[in-house]
Amino acid sequence: MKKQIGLFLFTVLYIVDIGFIGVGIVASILASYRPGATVVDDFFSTLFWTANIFFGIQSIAYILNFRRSKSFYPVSKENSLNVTLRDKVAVLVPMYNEDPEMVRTNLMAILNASNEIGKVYVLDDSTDGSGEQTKQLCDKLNIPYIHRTNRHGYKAGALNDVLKQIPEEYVAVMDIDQMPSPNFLKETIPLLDRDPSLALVQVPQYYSNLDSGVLANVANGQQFIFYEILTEGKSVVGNMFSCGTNVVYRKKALESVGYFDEGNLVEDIATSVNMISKGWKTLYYNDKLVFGRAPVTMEGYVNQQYRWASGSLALIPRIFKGIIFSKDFSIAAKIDWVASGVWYLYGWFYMIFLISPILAVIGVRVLSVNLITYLVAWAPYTILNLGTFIVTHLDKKASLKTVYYNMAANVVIFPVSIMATLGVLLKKRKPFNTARTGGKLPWYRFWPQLTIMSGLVIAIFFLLRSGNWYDYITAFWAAFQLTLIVPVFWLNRSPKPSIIDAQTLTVVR
Amino acid sequence: MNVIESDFIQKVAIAFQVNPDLYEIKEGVEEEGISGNRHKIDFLMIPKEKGSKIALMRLGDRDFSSEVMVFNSKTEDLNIPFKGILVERDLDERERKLLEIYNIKAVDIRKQASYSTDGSGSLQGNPIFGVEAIDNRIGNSIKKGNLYMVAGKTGVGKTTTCLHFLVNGAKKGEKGAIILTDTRPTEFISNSSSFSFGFEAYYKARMIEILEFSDQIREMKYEILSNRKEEKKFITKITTEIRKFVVGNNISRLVIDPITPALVGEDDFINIMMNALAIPGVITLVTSNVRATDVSFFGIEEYYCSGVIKLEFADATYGTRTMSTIKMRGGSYDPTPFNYRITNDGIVPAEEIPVSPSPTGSPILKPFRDVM
Repeated sequence: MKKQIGLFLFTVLYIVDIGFIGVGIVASILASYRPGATVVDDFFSTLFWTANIFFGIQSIAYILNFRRSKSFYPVSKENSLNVTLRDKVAVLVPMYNEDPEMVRTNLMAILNASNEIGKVYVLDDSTDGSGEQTKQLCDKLNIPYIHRTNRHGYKAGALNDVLKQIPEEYVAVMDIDQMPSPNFLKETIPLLDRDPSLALVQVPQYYSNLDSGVLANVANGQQFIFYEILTEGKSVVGNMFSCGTNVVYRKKALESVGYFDEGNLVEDIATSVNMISKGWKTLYYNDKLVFGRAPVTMEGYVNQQYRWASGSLALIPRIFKGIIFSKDFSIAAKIDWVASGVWYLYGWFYMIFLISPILAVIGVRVLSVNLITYLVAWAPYTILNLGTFIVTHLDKKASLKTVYYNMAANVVIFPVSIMATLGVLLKKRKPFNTARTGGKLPWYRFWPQLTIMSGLVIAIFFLLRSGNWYDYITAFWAAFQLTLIVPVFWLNRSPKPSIIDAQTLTVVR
Repeated sequence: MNVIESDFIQKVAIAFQVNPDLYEIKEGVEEEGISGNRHKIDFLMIPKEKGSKIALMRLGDRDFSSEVMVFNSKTEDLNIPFKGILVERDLDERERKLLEIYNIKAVDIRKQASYSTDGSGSLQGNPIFGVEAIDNRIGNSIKKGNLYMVAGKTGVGKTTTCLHFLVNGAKKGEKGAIILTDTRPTEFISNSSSFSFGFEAYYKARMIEILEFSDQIREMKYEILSNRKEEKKFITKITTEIRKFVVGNNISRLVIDPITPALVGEDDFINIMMNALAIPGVITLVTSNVRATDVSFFGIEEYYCSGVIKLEFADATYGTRTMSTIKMRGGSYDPTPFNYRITNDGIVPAEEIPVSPSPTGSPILKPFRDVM
């Protein structure tokens, strides 16, 4: 009964929320083009309105996914027993210039998960000489070691070269920075066995080094919305895409799309789009079965985000061609794909929000509204949106801190999204860097954030002195944004060692 | 002499209680002594970094005492402090005395003999424990890649059983490791070294490694007790580290004594943990206290092992105990219980001791013989 009431309240909230997103967008158009506004005012109001549409779409997709996740998601576990698993799975472990110590450790976890079930293949594209050590280890463990020197097709190429020659029915892909739990395959393979239309099962990448500093927690906050809410919802309608690691594919599904897509930096999403376009289903299995590590240095984090952003952005044309313009997908699915497809443009829209209060200082009035419009449309829209975001997160057992970190995570690195967009548009090739590299970044690299922060502080003082009720509200939002961008000072630090990497077993001599 | 080189180094290392990994061996070395004379040494163990050389002599056909004396004078001249003689037969009392005088160690390079202690001679089982009665019962069934459990109350001999398992492995050249989860290592070493069956020598020769978990693991366990979602992280961390050590150090016999502190009393947890501890190429033995059932602490561990050996107290007066096999997957085993006592020689059969009511006048409370 209690659950039903909760569900009912949520449904009401969804409808009201989506309604107000519409009202907010319409109201902001009306408010923007008020009489007496200058061309500059209108220009920035248009930008502001565009940003609202962007976040409006994101919110609708978010709410749809949350609703699906809440009402339809549960994946039963009872069938995951009594299935013959032997000799069915190839576990492919691609690597590139990795830390040998990490390889030694995580390969053991991968072996533990593959005990009597999977055959492990190490695919090493290293160019730094670390390959020799890895080869020795593989020889000792009797694991096939495949070393390529041409790096053709990068990760996707490495996977494809091996895929075409192996007999196994399923293919798990594990990045070497991941530690699977011993039951990873035992729990996921039966799901593929049960449903032959399933192309892949993805499990979350759970960050297990949250004790290494604030940055890891921020990165985790950012992951939370994805792995706890969006992905569950996507899975319900078969829209889940592979995240490149911690995933098991059906080899037949890979074959049907010509194996992994070698033409994109995010071969995982690209390949998923290809498979989904062909009618394959996908599943997200939300259990903490694989333990990864969040980036612990600002440089690593920026590299990771840049790579994800530019890879996803480069996929936009394909998502539109294969899914949005296709007749085989529902409107809800299309909204979802549009939302996740364009998500990495967020930096531009955050920038618009961030500079809007600052523009007031130089006399540009973005989105002036009268009191009535504000109270009827704008305020409820904003509050509902923010409220829904927080409530849904808390409902999924996130702490308030996680919610804050999530909101801050994207604001703090908004320039990365902008740089990635420019990189894709100008077809710039940036050398591939993993999240595991790098250290502290020099502070001058944060000039966009620091400039915005100073601008916001000045704007707050300026607006508070004006004595106008609307300016007070703008000052409030400016202060709110300031709290989301300030964490940059805590993020660019040297990490502490995490217990997950500590040596806890010691030899007594 | 048909001995594999590593096996050979190991045997010498055990006799001299040094780490075999730190030595290399050279055959037929000729070196100049202090006197200016050149001497030929049959084998020379040379330390890779620091440490002293070990000179080794093959025992020829000539008179024992003259060979020993010649060898001794050669090594004196070459200034090599450690001397060993390779023998392929049992030495008599006089010969042993002579070696003692010259401070020469005898290294028995024969293949590990089967049991010579019993009269019947032939041994049916595969010597896993090196205790004939145990091996005859279950030796055939114990397989690499599986996990077995030794269960019983405190003081009944679980750890001693594991020590036999490790020492017998080390004798055959199989490196072993014991992970202590609730004993202080220093206490464990001193207790284990008091046994006569050779634990100390193999430990010093690094054929048996002793390991313990740091406090961080305890912290992690407290964490998972408050947040069950972290359970798999804990299992993953523990099993990964164990496997990394086992692989990195070529361990083929692993003991976790006891397993209980690493477990949480939940079916899924115990299943995943125990399954992951069955490592290919390794025999894993875990011990367990008994509480929930008469063979385990949580009452479910026994389902996830390939075999369970139960130890019980039988007779307080004579300190006799009984070992019985509760479960043994694959292969035949002899289910008859085995009565034993624990002495300085470890586990010894107790059949010859009469199991009878205690004589009158004895105290009501009779302590069991303190094992460890």
